[in-house]
Amino acid sequence: MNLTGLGVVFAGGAGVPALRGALASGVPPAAVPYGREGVPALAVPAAALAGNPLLAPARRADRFCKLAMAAALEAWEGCPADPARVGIILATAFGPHATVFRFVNDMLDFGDAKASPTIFSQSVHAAAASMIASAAKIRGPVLNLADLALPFEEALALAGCWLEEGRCDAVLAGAADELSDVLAHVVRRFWGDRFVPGEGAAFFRLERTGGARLALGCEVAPGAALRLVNEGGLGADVPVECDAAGAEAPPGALTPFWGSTRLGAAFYLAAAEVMRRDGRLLPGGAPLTDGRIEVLSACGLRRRVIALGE
Amino acid sequence: MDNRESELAEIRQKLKMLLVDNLNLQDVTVEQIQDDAPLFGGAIGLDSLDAVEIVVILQRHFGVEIKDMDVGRRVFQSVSSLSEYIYEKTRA
Amino acid sequence: MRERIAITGLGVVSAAGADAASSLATLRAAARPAWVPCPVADLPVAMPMFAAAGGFPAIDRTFHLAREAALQALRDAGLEAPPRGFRLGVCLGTTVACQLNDIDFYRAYRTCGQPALGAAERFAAGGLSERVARELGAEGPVLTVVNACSSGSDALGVAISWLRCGLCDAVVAGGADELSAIPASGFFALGVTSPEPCRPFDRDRQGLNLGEGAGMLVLERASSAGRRGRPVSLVAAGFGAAADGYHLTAPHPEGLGLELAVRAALADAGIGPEAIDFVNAHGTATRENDRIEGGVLARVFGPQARVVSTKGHTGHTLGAAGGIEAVFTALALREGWAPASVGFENRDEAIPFAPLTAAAPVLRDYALSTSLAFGGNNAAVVLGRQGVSS
Repeated sequence: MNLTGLGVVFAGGAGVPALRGALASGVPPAAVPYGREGVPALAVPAAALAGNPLLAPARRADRFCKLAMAAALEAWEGCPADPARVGIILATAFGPHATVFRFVNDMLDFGDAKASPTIFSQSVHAAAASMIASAAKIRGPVLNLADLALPFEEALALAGCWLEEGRCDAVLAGAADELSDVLAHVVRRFWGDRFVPGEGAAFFRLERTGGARLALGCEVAPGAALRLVNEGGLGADVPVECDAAGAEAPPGALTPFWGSTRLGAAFYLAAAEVMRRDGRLLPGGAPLTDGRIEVLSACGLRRRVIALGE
Repeated sequence: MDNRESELAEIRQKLKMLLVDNLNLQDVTVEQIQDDAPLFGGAIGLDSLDAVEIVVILQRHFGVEIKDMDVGRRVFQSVSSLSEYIYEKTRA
Repeated sequence: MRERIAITGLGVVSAAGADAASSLATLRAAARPAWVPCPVADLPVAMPMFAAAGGFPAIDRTFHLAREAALQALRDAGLEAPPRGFRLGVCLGTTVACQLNDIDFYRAYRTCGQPALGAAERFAAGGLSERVARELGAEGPVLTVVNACSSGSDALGVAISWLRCGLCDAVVAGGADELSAIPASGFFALGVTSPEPCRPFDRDRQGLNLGEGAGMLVLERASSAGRRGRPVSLVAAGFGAAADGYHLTAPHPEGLGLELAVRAALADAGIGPEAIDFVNAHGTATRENDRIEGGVLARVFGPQARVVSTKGHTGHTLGAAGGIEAVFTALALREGWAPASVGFENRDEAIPFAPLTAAAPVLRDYALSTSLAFGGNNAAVVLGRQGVSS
């Protein structure tokens, strides 16, 4: 399949220019004390969402929806495909958990019979992709998936199937996760200070032609111009094999730009696309020879390689 | 009569604030909501999800129950009609 | 020529029965299983709910339901010990098991800020499909669908895509969900639950009942089934899905997305509406769903459409519904009769047909199962039988 559009929102702001700016500067966004316990985290700044023109018609979008929408609608802009033939695949690890807890708050505060129906509707995992479909007037298949290991990698593989089958002419495939007090607390209890959790979303427009070639596999291939290793995030596995066959950064080298997350592959792929478009390695700015950029992920025996470019 | 009118005005004001906050009405201020303007299918454009949310607002903030959405449909016409229903159920 | 996708195994547990055989008996008898007044939330009216037959623990219940139905399906397919190198994928849908939604955990967090971590540890064990895949030693792709009420059907669609693209040899696909306080409270707040056993398509229907269970199918490339010496008598012939793009909870007033999904599924199967013997509808018994879905089915299949909702036996099992209903549809094709639509008594004039009121022989080779979800996703699966002269 081919990558023809990109959208991203992360601790450094909303939009591909914000990601490029952060990577080019070499300075990751600063982690700030988050929530009730002041756990250092890489939260998306309020300004990235408030007043974001892509989010204008979304009265009922909760924060999780807004993160996903901001990235998806940026990747969608200018897509020529017929909306009836466009699909959406949204991967997440934790889903709209902040909203789930808001609903449970209502149940505990007001009783099981008097909780807010609006908050309930937002707490259902399917809400975010549905709002993207409404905003973009997309009518094709819409799939939300939630897993803790390789969720974005599986979303990409499925997008490839939908295009190969002829089920869609374009697919918006992406990943989104949000922070919450509870999640920050659990991260601290499980792992102490080892990880700085992040939040955000990255979306990719995929079509059969145009842009840059994107391929999925389980093995690295020789001759990659650049190999980026997604260290897994929040206690997941580091890929064992990282033999150098081109310029390479150590596992997790770019993670400080967006935070520890199970969706790391999505952000690494976004960074890879930014570098490919610029023709240079970021940070640093050394010219990137033409060729394949590989993003590696692993979980147990499952290994995934996303290859971008020829 | 004076008493009734001032209580109704109070209810209307409280209701408008609750609607703007709880329904997350982004382009509408409390001042812009006219007492008799249709809430559903008018400029404010509330929908079926807002209707069930209003049922919860009535329960929590006024102690008024709507057991039947047919009653709801009649009573939710405008801020005025809602306020009068609340007044009837709580003060009369 | 695209390879056929065989259905080589079925597994199901719900209020209708602890397995396929007992479920068939319930469907045959058009029997209403016993219901319980909402056992998971404190509601002012006794809302009927349908608990799964068989003993399943309260903790981690959805995983246990899923595991049971998956094992039944694998046994049915002769895949309890798959051959070496066999690539088995797992694609399950759920709405409850994907959330860190343990109320005791959250209450403790709210009060003292240091909750016991059991619930978080269970959540951290992975998505439902991941946990079942680990249990089964499955080495193919793994994906948990969280598409609300269409999750089970969408999971079948994913499995079909994976198999057509050769990502694996077979997939355990379907859905599972347990009765849970959050959806109980949420659906009640939306005003769509019924204080009596549900009556799909009936003039006086008052809403849905929640239910729980799991429905799993083993979908397998026909060539793989052949290599294993399994006969191919049932197939997953086609799948279609489409978004309403309309509203967070209300379906599109003309059922736009459902009609697109149904027509896409028929086209995917390479058949026309006349080849469909019956439709296992979503049929939740809410006023909106049945009216809109009824309109779409009448438009596509005509007012003579043969439609059944099996939610009168199971309640609305949310993420499990698409899986359970696909299993019931497959069983009906295999046994040669479509079940009566339990809970229906009087025709609603706003719906152009009445559902089946008695079990009817299956005369054509294909059947359709539909699911409509919160947020407007719609899914339709075409199942077929092979090697039967109609």
